[in-house]
Amino acid sequence: MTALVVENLSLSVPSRQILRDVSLRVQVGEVVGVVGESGSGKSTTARAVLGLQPDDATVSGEISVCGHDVVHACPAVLQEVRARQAAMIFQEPRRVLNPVRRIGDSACERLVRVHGASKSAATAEVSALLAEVGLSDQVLRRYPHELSGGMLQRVVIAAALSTGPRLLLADEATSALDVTTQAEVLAVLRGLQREREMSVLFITHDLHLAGAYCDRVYVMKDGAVVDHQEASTIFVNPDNPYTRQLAEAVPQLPTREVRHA
Amino acid sequence: MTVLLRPAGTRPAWLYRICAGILVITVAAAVFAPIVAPYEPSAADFAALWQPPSLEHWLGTDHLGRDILSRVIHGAQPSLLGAIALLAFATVLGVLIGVVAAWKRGWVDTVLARITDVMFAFPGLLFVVLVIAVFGRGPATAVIGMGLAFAPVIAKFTRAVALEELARPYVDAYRLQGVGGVELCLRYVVPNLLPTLAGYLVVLFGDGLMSLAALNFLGFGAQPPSSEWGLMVEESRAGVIQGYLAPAIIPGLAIAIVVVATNVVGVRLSDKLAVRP
Amino acid sequence: MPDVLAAEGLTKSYKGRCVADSVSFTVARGGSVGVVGESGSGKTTVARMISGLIEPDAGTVSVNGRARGHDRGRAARLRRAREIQMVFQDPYGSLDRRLTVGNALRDVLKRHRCGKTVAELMDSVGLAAELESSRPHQLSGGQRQRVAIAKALAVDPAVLVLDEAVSALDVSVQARILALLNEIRRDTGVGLVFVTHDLAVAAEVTDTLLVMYQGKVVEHGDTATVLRSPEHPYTEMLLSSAPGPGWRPEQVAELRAAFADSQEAADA
Repeated sequence: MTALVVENLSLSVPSRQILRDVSLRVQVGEVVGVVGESGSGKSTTARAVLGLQPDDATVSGEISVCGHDVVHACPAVLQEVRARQAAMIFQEPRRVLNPVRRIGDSACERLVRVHGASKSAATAEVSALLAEVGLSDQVLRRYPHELSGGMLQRVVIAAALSTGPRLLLADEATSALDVTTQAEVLAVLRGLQREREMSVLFITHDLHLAGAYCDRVYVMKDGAVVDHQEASTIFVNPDNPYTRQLAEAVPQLPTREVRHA
Repeated sequence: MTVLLRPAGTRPAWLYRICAGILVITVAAAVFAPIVAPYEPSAADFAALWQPPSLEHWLGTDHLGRDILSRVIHGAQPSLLGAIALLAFATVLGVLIGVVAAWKRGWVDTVLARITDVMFAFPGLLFVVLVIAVFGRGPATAVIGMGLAFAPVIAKFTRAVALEELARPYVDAYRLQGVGGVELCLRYVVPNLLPTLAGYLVVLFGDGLMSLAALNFLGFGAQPPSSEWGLMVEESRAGVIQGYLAPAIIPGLAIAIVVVATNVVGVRLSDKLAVRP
Repeated sequence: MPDVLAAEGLTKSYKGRCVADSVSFTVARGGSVGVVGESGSGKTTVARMISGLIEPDAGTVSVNGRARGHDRGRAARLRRAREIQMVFQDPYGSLDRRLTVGNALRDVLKRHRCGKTVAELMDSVGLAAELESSRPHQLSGGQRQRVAIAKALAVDPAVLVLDEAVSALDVSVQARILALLNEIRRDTGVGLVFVTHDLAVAAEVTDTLLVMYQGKVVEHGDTATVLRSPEHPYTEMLLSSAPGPGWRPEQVAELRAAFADSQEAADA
């Protein structure tokens, strides 16, 4: 079964069309990148996968998450998809976590509220996941402002994975972090993803990051998919003119001299 | 955590519409009282005391034979104006204290926080008694006294939102342009707080209305023959013992309905208006 | 070329932790100095000390050879404003949301009695004239950052401090803003202090580079030289952290852990 199928997805709000005929697929255990600039529709696509389109939007096309039809789903199915099949993480963990609640309360909330787990079972599950992302369960008693951005993003990953989703939607999840912290968080995420055979839709504005981290990459522009290729080819002069333009806009570091010790 | 459900606890839209409608009707009653009220509010009719509701007097009459419906309609004006004056006074004072505390931080903040805490700890009535001792009783005294009691609440709220606002980079940009502290706060920061503050003030309006009505009930504020709602309840107290409940309950109900309505509308407005980063 | 800015021994501690440890550098007229490092390296603290938003515990900042004063009063404040201006990271928060572009710019021009017009300013940063009546929420991130730059340049400052000013922008927009900054410093002679976590961005727009780690400057030199042949292992680690062909996050994470260990060992 394919983890995510989006077929000819179009989405418009009364003032304008946001997505045109977007089609993409994520196989089980695959990390697929969606790259585009702001306004390209990449975030809207991810949100539509969870049925989170704007209230006044009209949607056509098909979205299926692990075989569940999302576009025509009744609220109960949508709830099931959001609760068990797919989870989403965002750029700013501080906006997702309630600043006045302890990390533990926020992180266990999904398991307790949606899955009906007991508080202690949820805490045990989240603690185990925190250990996997390299954090001690001490953080459960801390408040968001006491943690760094990288630590918080790992907490959010642990909380998102606590319900065992098959598909993770990562919307600019590491864009606010500096390069070294970004690498640490992504290393953790890759470990968990391989171990659980989870699929990831990795949304980013950073073409090089997508090229280095993902298996395949879709490039979006003005609400449509304009390019689709194996990630590794991103770095070797892409054929598509828009992808090439994006690649050239990325500031380059001068080539380093090899140091002789 | 991750997005799952729509925010819980939001009230349905129809409730908001009904409450907004109630407020519009109340304000209309306050403005057009002389036109819409069937009788003069202070026209006594000793031939018709304690009348039950009838076609002539839709809500009955009170101990002086005055038409209760007309009195409630005419009472809307002093009741609403009182609450507005109270909030206006408390807002000016509270916003000033809150913004100064947020801007100066340090010891100024601590001192102001202590003062507001002390004011918080005393019942509003105490201020009113103090103010009355100085100025004598009357609607203005009630408003100023209650205003002093409300100011700390508004100051605390303002301080919190102002702290958040002052942390925004545009404030630093103004400082680097050479804008002084007073100008920065009054000309740029306070106007940016107003939308957030407005929703909160509508919520507080209900509290203000109720507190003033309580003062008037105790005879500290509005004086007869005003038909302010709290005063109406007080004047009809005697009838309750004799079994005439309506003259006391009806103005009380008016207070309760307006308080609930402003609360619902205020919460909804503050959700809409509050600026979130 | 004479130096427009000289920072000497800037030091700042919070709660006993040193976030900037005697940071010194100079910026030539029309020159550009980059300050790079991870979050928590103290680079933003340095930017804020330079601009005067926070008071250093020790050290001085001088502009055109004159130490920055602390005099109170409107005239002194306005004079300081013409020395150093700053552009912030968050394009959403760095503009007053109540004011239209035109009014925001007019406000600055009026305060400083500048002879320029709003139209000239908007033109100098490449903003279309019809945006004059737009409010911040109607603008894109790049447009907002242009407005912020126009506001800062309105007073003809000697130095412009940019704190992660292009980090939140799309790459194509980023490239245009960087080109604009290079053009501005060539035309007006304003000195730039460019704070960023992105080494490649620093490479585009700076002549000299300071690499900061835990409040200390670990490397300071010509940008191209530092990036081509880094001396300090930390700089080298930062350089190899950027995603590119053959990049493996696990490897970067290991490098970083190893570096942190080696620092601890050195401290002990």
